Amino acid sequence: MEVGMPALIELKGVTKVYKMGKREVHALRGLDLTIDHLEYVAITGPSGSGKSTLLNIIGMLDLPTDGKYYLDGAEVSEFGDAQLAAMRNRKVGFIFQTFNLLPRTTALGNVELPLIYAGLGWKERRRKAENVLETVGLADRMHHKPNELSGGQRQRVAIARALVTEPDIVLADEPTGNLDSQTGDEIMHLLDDLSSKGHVIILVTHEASVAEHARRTVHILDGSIASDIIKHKG
Amino acid sequence: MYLFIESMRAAFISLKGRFLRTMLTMLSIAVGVATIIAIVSIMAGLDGMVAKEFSRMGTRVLYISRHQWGGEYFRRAPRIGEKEIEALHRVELAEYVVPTRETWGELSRNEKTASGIQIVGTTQDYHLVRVVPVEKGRFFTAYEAERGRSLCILGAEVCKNLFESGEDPINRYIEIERIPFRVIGVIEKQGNMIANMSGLAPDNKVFIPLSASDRMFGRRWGVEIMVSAPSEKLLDETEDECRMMLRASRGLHPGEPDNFGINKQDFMLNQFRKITRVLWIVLVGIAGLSLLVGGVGIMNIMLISVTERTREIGVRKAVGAKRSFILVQFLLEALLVCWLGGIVGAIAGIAFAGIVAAISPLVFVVSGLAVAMGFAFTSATGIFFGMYPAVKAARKPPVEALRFG
Repeated sequence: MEVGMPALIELKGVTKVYKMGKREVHALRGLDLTIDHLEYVAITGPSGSGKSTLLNIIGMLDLPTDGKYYLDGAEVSEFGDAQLAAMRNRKVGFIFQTFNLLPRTTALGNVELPLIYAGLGWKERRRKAENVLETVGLADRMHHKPNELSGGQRQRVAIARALVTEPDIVLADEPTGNLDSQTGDEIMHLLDDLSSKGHVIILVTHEASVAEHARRTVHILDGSIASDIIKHKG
Repeated sequence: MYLFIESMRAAFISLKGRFLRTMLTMLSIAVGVATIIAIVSIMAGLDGMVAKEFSRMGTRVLYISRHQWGGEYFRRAPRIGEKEIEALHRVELAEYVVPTRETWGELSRNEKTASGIQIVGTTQDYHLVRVVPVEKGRFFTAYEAERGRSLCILGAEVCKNLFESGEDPINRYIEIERIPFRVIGVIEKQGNMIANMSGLAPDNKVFIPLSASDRMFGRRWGVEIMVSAPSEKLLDETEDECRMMLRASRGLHPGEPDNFGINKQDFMLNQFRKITRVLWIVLVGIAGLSLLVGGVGIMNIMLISVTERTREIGVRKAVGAKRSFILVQFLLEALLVCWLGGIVGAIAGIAFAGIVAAISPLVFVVSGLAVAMGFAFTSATGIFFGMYPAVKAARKPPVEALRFG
């Protein structure tokens, strides 16, 4: 890293406490993590370890209870609603285990959604969405609604939606969790491709075979980092 | 702007997806709007009808009597009579000065009788001041009036009671209070039921020369004098001149109050409007209540919708929707239902008012005010009852929204 250049993602002493009735659940306990450009990171750990919470905080869907999160050098906790929305829109693309597509909207409409919030005009939206859907191999399925698509196709739509605003970071929460192994492999290859094209990929998984794809594996246990292994090429 | 269009589109798609629910909610709003528009239109129609009826009294006519309408009855003052008629004839602005005496009595012809008929003793100019178009025959002349000839002109209803439909009443004799009168004219049918009951229309009246009335009923009853101004504009000036002349003729000193009344038809109209204003407020209040019920329905449906679509809200936020976008989207959805209901309700309300006007003497008025009020009320309902669910939707934290369901 060059001196003076802030890291892309920097978490310092991040804590997350949920209140479940009267009980307090510590999902993250003072976690430090730095992720930079061109990285491909798998966050692993058993369920309830806090790995999804970590991903949500990185994706700005959730805010830390305590600690600092710097994204591109800016402190996220100081953002207001509008700025958070803008950052979610432009900086990150989210891929979910359950796809989370709008059911009544076509593949094209789903992919256009982030562009609507980005304020793009109709024509440009259409053009960009079509391009991205082509790159994920769904050129002939654009006008289908989610319930007319297979699981793998739905996840491709979700990936297209995550990519359409050309974000630096792609976040994936168990992206293959609802897919059979073959389709899962296809999706993972798609993510590998994105990584080689320069996107930062951060994925949460509990499957070792999925984590294999990443070059760095962060293992979480009880809200803290248990191990952080960087795989060397070759 | 593009966002508004997108929100509109999203709202449309969402409403289409819940067709039956949307229709039912819309219906409740439509009923409220229809009620408001129908009530306001019917009330406006009633007002129009009444204004038309009162205008029969003449919008540029002064009624000089012993009674100030809505005020004092000058019991101790001298009766209105010859002296006052003479004084009023000197009023320069007065076009016509027409004394009338109204009494009630029985008319008969052969076996047929008509009782409770208003017998109007007056002069030849009566039909120039009041709306009494003579259908058959003629009104009496100045000469006939002066001589007190036993001639009469019948109102349409009176004529119908005394003569068969094929019979020509002209030059036939009838008896008014047992005294024979020759029919010289019949007045065209004028009013409706309400106008006849209130005595505004001439249908239930019979007109005889004032001097004949004097002879039959005696002068001590006095008369009422109609004075017509040259125009509506000059009515007040004419009134002032009449007052001056009457005060002079009665020798009233400055500072002494009038001991006679000068009346105008707009007093009657205003009196009516005062009464109906209360009715109006009550009815619109009731209609507003039904709109309120519709609004509660909207709120209920929107709350269900927000809960059902928690995940959608999460997705939208995850891909970059601000709170305000979500708010606008849900608010528009509520408004759209209200406007749709408003349009349906407006059509129904206007149609209903039209039907009422068609089968009743009311005037058909599509009140722009009613439509504007309906629109304003529905929009207010949509915003008021849609706001809470929309705020609730907008405030959902994205993680929790995504985890839902």
